[in-house]
Amino acid sequence: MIEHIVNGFSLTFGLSNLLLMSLGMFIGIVVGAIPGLNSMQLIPISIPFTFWMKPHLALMFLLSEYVGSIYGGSISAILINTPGTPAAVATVIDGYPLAKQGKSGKALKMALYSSIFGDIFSTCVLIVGAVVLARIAMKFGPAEMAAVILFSLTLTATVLGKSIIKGLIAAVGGLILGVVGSDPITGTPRMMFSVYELSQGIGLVPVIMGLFAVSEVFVQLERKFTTRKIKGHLPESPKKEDQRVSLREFLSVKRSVFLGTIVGTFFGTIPGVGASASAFAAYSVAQRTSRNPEKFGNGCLEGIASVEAANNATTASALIPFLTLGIPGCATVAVLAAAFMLHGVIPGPLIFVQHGDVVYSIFIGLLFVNVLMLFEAQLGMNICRKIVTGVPTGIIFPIVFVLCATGTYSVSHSVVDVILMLGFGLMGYVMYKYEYPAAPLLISFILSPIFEQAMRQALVISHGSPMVFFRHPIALVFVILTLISLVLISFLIRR
Amino acid sequence: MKLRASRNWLVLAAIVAVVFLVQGNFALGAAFPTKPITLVSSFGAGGGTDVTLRSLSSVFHHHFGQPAIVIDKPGGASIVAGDFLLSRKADGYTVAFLVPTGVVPEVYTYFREATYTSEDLKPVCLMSIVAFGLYVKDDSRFQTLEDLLNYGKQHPGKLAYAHNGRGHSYHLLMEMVKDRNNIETQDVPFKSGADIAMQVLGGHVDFGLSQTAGTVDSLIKAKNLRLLAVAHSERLPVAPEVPTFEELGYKFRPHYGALFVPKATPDNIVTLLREGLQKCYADKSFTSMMKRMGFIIQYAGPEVIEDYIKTEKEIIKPLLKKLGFAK
Repeated sequence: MIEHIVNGFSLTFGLSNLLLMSLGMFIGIVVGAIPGLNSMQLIPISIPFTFWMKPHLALMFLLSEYVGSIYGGSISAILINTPGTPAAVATVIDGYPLAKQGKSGKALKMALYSSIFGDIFSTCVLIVGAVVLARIAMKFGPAEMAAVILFSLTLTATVLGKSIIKGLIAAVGGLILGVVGSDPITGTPRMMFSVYELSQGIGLVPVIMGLFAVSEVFVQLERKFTTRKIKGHLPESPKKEDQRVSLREFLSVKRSVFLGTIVGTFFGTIPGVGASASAFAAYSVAQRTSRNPEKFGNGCLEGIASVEAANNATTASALIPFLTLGIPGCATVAVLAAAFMLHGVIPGPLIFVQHGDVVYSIFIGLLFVNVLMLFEAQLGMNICRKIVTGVPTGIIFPIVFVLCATGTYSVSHSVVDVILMLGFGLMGYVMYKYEYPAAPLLISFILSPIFEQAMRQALVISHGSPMVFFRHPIALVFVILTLISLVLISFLIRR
Repeated sequence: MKLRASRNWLVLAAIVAVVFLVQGNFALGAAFPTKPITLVSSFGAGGGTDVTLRSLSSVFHHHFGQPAIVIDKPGGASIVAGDFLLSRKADGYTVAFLVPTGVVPEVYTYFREATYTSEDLKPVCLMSIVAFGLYVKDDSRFQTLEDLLNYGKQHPGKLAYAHNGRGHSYHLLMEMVKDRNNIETQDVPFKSGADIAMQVLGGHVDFGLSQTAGTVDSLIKAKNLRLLAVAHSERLPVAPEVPTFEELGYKFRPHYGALFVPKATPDNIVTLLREGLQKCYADKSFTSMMKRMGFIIQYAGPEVIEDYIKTEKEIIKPLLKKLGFAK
């Protein structure tokens, strides 16, 4: 192992390697920051460019893009209420309000530092405990999966907003939207109304872009008609301490960062949950354990910190089942799988034996990439902040609108998705007007198909007996947690 | 004289026609492709099909002079990709990779009504043969397929297996074996081969069927999974002691993948596609990539695919009917 680590170091710290990694990081941040574009589109496009590279170089380049894009997503989430990637959806909840208070620099830096913490921590977990954690991940069959997702669904209660009823209505709406598509067991179409493009379900990107970005465009449009503002889109507080994060501030949110990291690492390890769900879970865990939960949603640093730590922790831990068993932890890692295999590095239990040096150079590279991120992200965020504080809303939002439309189109090359995006934009606007929160709708929309598939798979195996959720110990633990969570919610509602 | 004149006219017309046709052909020949060609993958990103097509796209421009763009249209056991193909212009710029369920959707109407039939497609050429296998966890009590089947006979409904969608090759082959032996089991569909391997590894199902290249191959080498039978024309290098289904008396068509264009695509364009693809298949950098991943790339003309389509209608359709999966 020591030999592999030494080899890994020498493979990582070549000049060409560092240049490629910083290039990958830069491209990742830019693409992540552009609404609608994310690593799911970036990595497949980049793979052919890596054919001429040595395996460890190619893989580090792609992984830098992956890590960079997850952070990049939070830039647009904070500055223009538009999650650049699905992973950054929960960042919007506290990031945008803080930016509107003139503290965009503080929000972006908080996101950066907690991202880096989450990333480094989960990479260390990956290095030390990959094999053990993969064993645990294997224990997650359909019954366990269904129980975990059910638990996550109850966690969404914390983002329900001021009115519990309106929040629940939004959440149920999300569940129903998640049912559109093909039946997970029989494969037969349902609720598609003969729109062939919906056979894979409603796409995540059009929903996110519509609910957050396009609806914000409409909101700003209305404001433009009612008030004539010519100044920059976002105010900027002249006070210096509003644009940075002091050590004391970072330490004051250390619990949120840590909890976010743990939640993110855990969710990343279980294949099929994904970064956006883990970020939401981290957010609600942070809120419930916080001393001042009422501040969440109004530009709270703890909120940003937990979410960003979680989604970046997911990136590294999603590699755990992938490297050790060959099973991708999330959709982006599934795309990376193609790159690994093309370069002859077949993930699986033998990867450490056959390609030990490559694997360790990836580990070291993943740690080092965070140093690059610290510098490159500062540069990127300053440029972006200059733009949103200097350029009037009337110019920024038309550009955002065009980016959303092209980004949405680029995902599946389908005009139906663009129309859906507009539809969800209108829906988001109406929801905003009547104070229905968008976050619960989105999170239950993401979780609904995963939950349904896992639950029905479990029921097929158990011959239809619901006892399967109580007989499996891991599933039972999560069912109990779900019940506790429900009791707490009803307690909160009464109060 | 009159006759002669008209004959002259005819000759002239013929010459003009030939010139036009040749020119037209030539123009088309020189002009195709003038823009990137879209390769439609019928499975998700990162899966075997996606990787194969992306590798193909890496050598594509050397032989076509234009790049290829790979887009994934997963779902409906490749019917979604077929549907998508037919929603595009029949100009040869969209080529779809389809597996049997998407090639002959009329056989699988029990599972999903497709908007098209095999008559709407024109085969370009064969692309790949997917070797798949039935595997168990390495410490499983079943040593051979016979062990498994005997246990299944004695304990009806006890066994559960994972496959990648009802009406798909893995599911159908297993249902055929079950039907032959009068066995009842649960069958659980999962999204990908990696998911299936994970479920078997975790002991959530008793066995699984999926393609062996990639994840499963490495898990077999690491002695985490063990093959009981292989669905391929020959035994696999990773486990030469494991018999094929055919050796055990179960004859089934291969799980192939082939490239298709819409029926109305002009023949000269399809010929150009075939010629270019044949060169791509022979490209050393492509074949070495495929070899590294254990994928079997094979060129075969449209007649072979027509033959598979015939088998589908004559052998699989009655099987489906017998199993209650056909109207």
